[in-house]
Amino acid sequence: MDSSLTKLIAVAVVAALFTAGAMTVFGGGGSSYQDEEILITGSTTLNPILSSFKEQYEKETVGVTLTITGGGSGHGINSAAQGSADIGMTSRDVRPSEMDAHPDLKIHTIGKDGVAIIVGSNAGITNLDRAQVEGIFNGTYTNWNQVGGNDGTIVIFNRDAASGTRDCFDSTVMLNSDTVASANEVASNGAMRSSVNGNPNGIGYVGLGFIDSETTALDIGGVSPTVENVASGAYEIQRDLILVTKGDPKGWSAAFLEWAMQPTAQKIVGELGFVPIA
Amino acid sequence: MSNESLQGDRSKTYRIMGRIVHEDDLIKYGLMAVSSVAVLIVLAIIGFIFANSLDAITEIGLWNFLAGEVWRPNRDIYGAYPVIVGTLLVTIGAIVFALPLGLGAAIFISELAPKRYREPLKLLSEVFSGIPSVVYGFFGLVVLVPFLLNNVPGATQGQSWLAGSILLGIMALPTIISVAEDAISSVPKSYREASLAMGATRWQTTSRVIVPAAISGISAAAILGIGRAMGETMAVMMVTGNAAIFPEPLSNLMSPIRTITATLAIEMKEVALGTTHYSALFLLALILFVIVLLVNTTSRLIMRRMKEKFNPTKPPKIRSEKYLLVMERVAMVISVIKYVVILGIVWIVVDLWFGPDAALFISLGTVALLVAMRYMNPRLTQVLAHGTLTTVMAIVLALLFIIIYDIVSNGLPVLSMEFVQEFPAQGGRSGGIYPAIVGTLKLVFGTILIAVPLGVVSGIYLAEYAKDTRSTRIIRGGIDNLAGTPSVVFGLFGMAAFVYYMGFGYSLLAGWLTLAFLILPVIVRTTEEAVKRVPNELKEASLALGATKWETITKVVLPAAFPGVITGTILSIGRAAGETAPIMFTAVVAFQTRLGNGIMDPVMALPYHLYYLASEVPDAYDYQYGTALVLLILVLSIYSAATFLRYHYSKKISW
Repeated sequence: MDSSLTKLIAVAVVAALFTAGAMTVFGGGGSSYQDEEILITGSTTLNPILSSFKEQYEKETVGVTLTITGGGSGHGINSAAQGSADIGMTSRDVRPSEMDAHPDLKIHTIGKDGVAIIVGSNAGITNLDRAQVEGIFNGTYTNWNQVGGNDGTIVIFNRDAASGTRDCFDSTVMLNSDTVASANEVASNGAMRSSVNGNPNGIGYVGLGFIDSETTALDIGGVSPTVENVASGAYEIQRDLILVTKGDPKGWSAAFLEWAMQPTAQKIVGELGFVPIA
Repeated sequence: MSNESLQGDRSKTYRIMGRIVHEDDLIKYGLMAVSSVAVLIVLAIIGFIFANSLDAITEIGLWNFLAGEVWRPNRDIYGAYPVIVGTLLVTIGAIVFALPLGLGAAIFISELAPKRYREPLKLLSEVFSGIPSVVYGFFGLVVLVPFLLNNVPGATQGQSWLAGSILLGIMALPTIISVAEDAISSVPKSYREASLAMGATRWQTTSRVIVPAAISGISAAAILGIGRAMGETMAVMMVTGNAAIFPEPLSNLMSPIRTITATLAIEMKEVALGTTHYSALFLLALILFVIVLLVNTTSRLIMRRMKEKFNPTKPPKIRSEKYLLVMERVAMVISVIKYVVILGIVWIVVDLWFGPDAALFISLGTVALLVAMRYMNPRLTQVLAHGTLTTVMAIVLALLFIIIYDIVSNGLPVLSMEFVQEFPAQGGRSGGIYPAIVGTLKLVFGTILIAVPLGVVSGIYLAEYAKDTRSTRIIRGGIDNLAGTPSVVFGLFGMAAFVYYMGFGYSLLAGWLTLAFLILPVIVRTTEEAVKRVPNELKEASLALGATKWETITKVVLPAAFPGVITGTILSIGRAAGETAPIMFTAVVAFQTRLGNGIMDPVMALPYHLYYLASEVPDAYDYQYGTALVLLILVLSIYSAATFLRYHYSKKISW
């Protein structure tokens, strides 16, 4: 055989060894021990909560790994229903159509989220009622002075159509109409907050956890968007944070879901700016 | 370059199925098979995206989709017309911003700059292409958007068509500068000498001889820049406001606007698998793919014409008097159109800042000046023109400086050993970014391992064996198309093919494959170029000594081409490390408290971590800048390594 061909084979072998070596180096423990894995997928809103759960739970429970991926609420529900994930995350209610298709879905509410209406520095108001907010978003009111504020053309920031926060806003505020097409759309709570904070005449909405000292969050019908008011139900623009399983949870998933209702876990929910349920 | 007569005598033969086969032919077909992978990938991309968009085509109808004026997925209304128009408008704006700057800088570098500053200036302008797209987007969001809101009179918001165009324009600059500079410096020396000998000034020579001679290369630069701007995702999504509307009036630069790529990146993340919405997004990706394909094909055709012009293979045609007369008229019309376009653009921009009166005055003044320059004293014109070019170069460098300064000055206070060594805590607000750094390195490592062997083999095949036959043209076309495919399309393809169809899930493996396909064309091209640049004498000498063609390639050509190959590899490492869109649907998770175990586990990655911090995590402003800085340092040091190597070898090796 030609020496060059031999060399080619040698190179291939070296490359393969190199790969294998790198895998072990990069792979950390390699296959010396294998954790029990709980696969969790779905809403990106729940990602920070589950990520912090993971941090704490893996510390407390040796031998269990939580793997958390995104994909959206719909994906979370489907994955759990079809068994490709152990637990699905959804930040919107499970739709009747989804319940019909998968009657064995079990719902575990681990917290709530309030959606606060936030405005820029020039709005000049601190309170609106629900219908006024709808009127702003559907284009009936285009200047802050039409709802009792300063003179200034209102700039609307909306969330993307696939977002769970948008779903909550649409189903609790936009009861009879659609948002105007000229509304800006941003892809996340963070982008929403910086957009509205950065625009004196802006209006938008974020999860409670995103309200900071720079943000002006409006009272709705005289009720402030606070953890207490969401927990008691007085503040109505809110949604449940839900984990779903196919049938009753079993084994490791059952233990984890039980843990999620305990004070340690619920404290995490609160720390991240969501509303604990227990 | 491939030449039958160069085949060595020692070449062995084998008997396969009763036929005598040359060893060289065996190798050739082997290499060809590997090279066809690029074609397979292109077909797979088209196939997967088309298959996933079928539902949308049947349920919505292609025409309704293309012509529908409302995009409202939560009401199941999918009209892509405003999104397509938005993509075109942002792109046009970007090119209007970038072309004068890029062309001016290119002319400055090749015609005006003292010789010893030429290389450094070229390098600096290449730094732009080393800054990851998500870093541009972040800069746009925190610096450009507030700037526009506070400085454009009457602006109600900063997120706008203008913000998107400026940012994309900056991102298209390196492409335009390097391609235009290449075109200008490839104009034969004799052109310049002839013009100067006739007594023309330097500026007359530049503007009337060099630039017109290089015009097709410059057009190609513009078109490649358009392709780049059109496929850009993360940056444009963060600054354009993303309202799916037509600006009113259509020239309203401060109107929010939405592009195809932004729609994909925003909505793909949360959309439910298998719905009409999901399928509609794939149909959008398909449309983008087709548009970018057309744009890139046009630029390739133009470049080929340019090559033909300077190295003619056919004798020039003799034109009739009548033809020349008609062409003169056409040229006049084109020049009038040129002035009208300039007038229009100046009008729109000045009107935005200073109102219609000033707009009328300044735009008429500009055109008057341009016309007057034709009749001015050539020396005065030259002073004016060279002053303008120098200013343009200064603006380009200032833009670069502003972006880098903003990231470095805000990110530096966050950097510490803990920041790069610890796991994140509190959802990313404290702790460090260690898993994101490791994740990025892992992603790059595997990507290179897959792409480099494939790419180098294809490059050798194209340079040494491929003749201009149909099959090699198909392979070349496949590689070119791969190079032009927007990164978000790779992301969607990776998600459909690897994550779901092959069932890899969000995993390192899915990320590797997606990124490997993304960087493959870079490696193929740089290898091909490097191999072609090895002088023929070297190969002939080796063959004359009795070496076979394969021996010549492995022992003479490849070692000589090695620096070029390494440069290409390093450049693609930088590209792979900075990309967000291809990995966000295939490989990354937002948060890890321990490193994954193997290639089927997802990873964290720096670009996505930056995006995640900027969008999902409250109170992480410092950490965003810190992450941006680490990413910038990582990518730029990779680029500098490539540059150093290239420079080092170009000095050392001279034929």
